[in-house]
Amino acid sequence: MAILVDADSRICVQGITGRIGQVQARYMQQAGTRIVSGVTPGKGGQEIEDVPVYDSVGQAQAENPADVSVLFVPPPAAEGAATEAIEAGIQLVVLITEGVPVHATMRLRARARAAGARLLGPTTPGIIAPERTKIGIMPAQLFSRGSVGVISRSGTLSYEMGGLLSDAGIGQSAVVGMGADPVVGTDITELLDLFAADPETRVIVLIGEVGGSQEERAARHIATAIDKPVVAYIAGRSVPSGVRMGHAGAIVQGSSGSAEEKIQAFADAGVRTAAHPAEVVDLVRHCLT
Amino acid sequence: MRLHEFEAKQLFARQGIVVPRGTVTALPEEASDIAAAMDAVTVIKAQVLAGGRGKAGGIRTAATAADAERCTAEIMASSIRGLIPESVLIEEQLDIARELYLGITIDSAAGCPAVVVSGRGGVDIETVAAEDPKAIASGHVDPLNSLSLDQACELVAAIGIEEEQISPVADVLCRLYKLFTSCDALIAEINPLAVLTDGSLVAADAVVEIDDAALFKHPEWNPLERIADPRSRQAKQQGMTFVELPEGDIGLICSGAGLGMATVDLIADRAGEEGGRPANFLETGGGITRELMASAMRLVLSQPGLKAVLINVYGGINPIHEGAKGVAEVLAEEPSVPVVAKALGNHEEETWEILRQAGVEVVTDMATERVVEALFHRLSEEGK
Repeated sequence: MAILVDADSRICVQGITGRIGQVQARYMQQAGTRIVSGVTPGKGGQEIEDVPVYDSVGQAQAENPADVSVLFVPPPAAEGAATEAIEAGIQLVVLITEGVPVHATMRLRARARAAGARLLGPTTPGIIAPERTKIGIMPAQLFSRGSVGVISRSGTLSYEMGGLLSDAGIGQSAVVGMGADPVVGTDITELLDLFAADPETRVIVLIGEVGGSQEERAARHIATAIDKPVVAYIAGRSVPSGVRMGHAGAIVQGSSGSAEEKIQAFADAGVRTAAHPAEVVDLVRHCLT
Repeated sequence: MRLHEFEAKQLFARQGIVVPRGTVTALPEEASDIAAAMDAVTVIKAQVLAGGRGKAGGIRTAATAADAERCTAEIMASSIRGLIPESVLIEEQLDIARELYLGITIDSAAGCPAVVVSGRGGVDIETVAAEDPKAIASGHVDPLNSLSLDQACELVAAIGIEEEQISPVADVLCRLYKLFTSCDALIAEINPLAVLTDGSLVAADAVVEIDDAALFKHPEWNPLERIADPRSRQAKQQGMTFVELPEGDIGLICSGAGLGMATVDLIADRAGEEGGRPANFLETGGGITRELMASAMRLVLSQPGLKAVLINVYGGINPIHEGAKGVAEVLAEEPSVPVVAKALGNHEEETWEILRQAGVEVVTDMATERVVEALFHRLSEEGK
């Protein structure tokens, strides 16, 4: 199995009757994802894309149990819906929604940890184990199966990286979006540990961006606990200080959160940082040979 | 969204945290009446969202009503760290014996709120942390529970204040924590919390920043009013991010912040004497429609001196073929500078067709490097 998921993973789609939920459920099915249930409160009893829809995750679990839930719900509904999934015993909750209040995310993170479940996101494209399953919004055709594990703060850069590696004939064991918010459910260090323990993964690619200190923490963790080669890329070298660049977490304050600090932290940990996305491919190829 | 001091103090007062008597005004002649009615030495504080406003001349002390009028007029006519004050807050001067620091923020690494207290208030907490770390006590709070009075007392006791002050300061800290959670704040800070000569506690300054993502729960705050740049304001209203970048001549539209920043970096690295610098960062977010993309094009094209536009989008959650129709719509309206685009993912071929029909140069290669190369090739062609 890939990290976190596999071809056998059974998926529940929360918000499946919404415009985005329905389209994305279809794309996931086309990528081979095994969707066993959908949930929209008040819309139970119908079928969407041949998937039975329930009023609650509890009902869905009683009839067609899932291991993973993926959420396409608007921000005001996100905390309630994700809490429902955690309380119903779902092991992996993938919160795609962008714009979830940080206080709600902190509570969800605490609830998931207390229940022994894992929360991915919010503001994540999800996770794809190419040619096996896709739980999220990545365009599956860009990815191919192989031995590189990719962790990304950005959604679209994870697509670009999957596409660049695949074009170069280098497949991926899994590509996972950690989420672009200041607080996320699963830390970068936990994802590094998962790839380090995954027998299919030979090289790890880490795509960071300016703001916060995740990359610095990742660098310290790599130096002490990860024995697989890691290649990094940091977006936002040229962005001005004090401006929030689209992601809630992407802001440089003074020198804190700057690309220079992150690149230096990686260099100190023996991790090579690519100047541009396409350069990652060369560095990965070097690690694989 | 950062609040003005007077707004934060209104929230404090509602939460039972004592603040100085004070009134807001933008008019010097009103300042005179306010100061006269207070019958005390007053402090006139510029209401601007800038740090270090005292050092920049934004805080003055006025002994008389006439002084208050003069100080208000001077502050209102000045620029504080590049910002023009919209008003001043006039407060009675406090009789301060000691200054403390109370702050609550979010620890991203721990994923929970962090409470910081210090016996050295009135100065930058980062400075205290660097010079005198023992003067600071901090702790995490379980987001599923509130800050308990016990935990608050423990923290406050650690900063070396008089025994009988511990419980009252801890009470203020608990009230501040309640405000922090009920307002969905990213930061709630009292610096300084003034211990007056009679032993009472007054919040002399107030910093509150509210999470933009939580504003749907707090409709009393309108972040759009605070965005000075009209294009950034319009973009935000439509769910996009627009940041103007200095001395640029290349308009940029990207879906996704990470991809946008990577593209800005690539263009900035290639820029030469003849130009080719990013003029803006525009991130569409995940809500692309025909209308949104048309709007994004108009925003970017409104920049004077633009030489070209680069579009870099992915069809993941975004229907890029719908977005392409918006681009085509704008290009059909008026002559434009050259537009180059990379658009990959779901519905890519339909998207390419629409864009090419509209005169856009489409690059189908995976790497953003290639579309940036195409852009610079066009720039050199146009320059000949």
